Amino acid sequence: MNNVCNAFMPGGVNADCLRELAEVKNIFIADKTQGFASVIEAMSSEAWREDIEEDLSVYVPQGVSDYENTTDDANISTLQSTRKIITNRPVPSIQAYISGNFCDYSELLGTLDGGTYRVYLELVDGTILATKTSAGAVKGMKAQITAITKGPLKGDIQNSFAVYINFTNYNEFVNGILMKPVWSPTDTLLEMVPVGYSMFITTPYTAGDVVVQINERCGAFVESLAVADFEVVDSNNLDTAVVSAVVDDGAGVYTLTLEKDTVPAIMDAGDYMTIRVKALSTLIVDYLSNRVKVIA
Amino acid sequence: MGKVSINKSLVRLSFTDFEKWITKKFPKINAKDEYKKIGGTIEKPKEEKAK
Repeated sequence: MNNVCNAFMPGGVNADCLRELAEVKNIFIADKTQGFASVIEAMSSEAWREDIEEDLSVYVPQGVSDYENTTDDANISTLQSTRKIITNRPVPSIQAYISGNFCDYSELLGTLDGGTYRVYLELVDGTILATKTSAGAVKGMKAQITAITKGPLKGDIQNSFAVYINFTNYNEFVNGILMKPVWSPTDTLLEMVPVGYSMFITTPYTAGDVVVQINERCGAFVESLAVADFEVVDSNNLDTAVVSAVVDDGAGVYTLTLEKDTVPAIMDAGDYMTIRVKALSTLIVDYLSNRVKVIA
Repeated sequence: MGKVSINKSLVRLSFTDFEKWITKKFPKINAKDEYKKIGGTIEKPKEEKAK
């Protein structure tokens, strides 16, 4: 029987360890299904490498320049002028300001739109805060994440790139785990993240072709991409939706032929394909762009 | 025209269909060379096979 009136005594203390919970240095954003089978695996940089540069299930920004803990205080009610009671357990939330650049932040604005993710918190002492499941798996804490821009700030420009992280499960903090890998988390993991490209349409889809401009994020144009470097990630359930051909026109301009069906045909009005650059060397994604929706 | 690359998945087409597609799209490109580049095999004409 579940006795809700149990008042268990806390068990034991490590009197040799006097160490407060450090501040947040970075946030690692993971797909909501991502996790590690065990603590040992979560402490292995190789396990992170596979998720970051092959599966693309973990994203590592350059860091957090500042943040605010926006968790509400617990509700304290007074019972008819007698004793006080606590009536809730507010779930933690953070407003984080990401270190980076306008172009990388544009990608966050286009993707972090209130969806559900898992978040690992890297703390300034080199530890990673995560949650442990009853099966011993290690995951980030589940959160709803939204990137919202206020445009150019006056003063405090390090707070230009705001991301709102609203965790959804209080118990994942109760079951939290603080890991101290031998490697430096952001320094090690950031090197694994694919290089980001920016792609945008310069000539809309006409007669099977769309023309795009591709640059490094806030950088120079990208040369020498070929058809194998492009991927169709989504469509309106088109059969055999592919980038059939690419013409490298030079100076970062590419003409892409997008076709559907077994015998290639151009898209009909109302069809769409969402494409991106995903350039691989064997299984490793070296270069990755934003997603572009091409509508016929 | 800039540098052209063709998706290897088009090897699913017969050479005849591929040739129609590429001639319409890129008239100056040699269809046989491109078909072989994407892993296609061009069947010899029947009269040659009979020999």
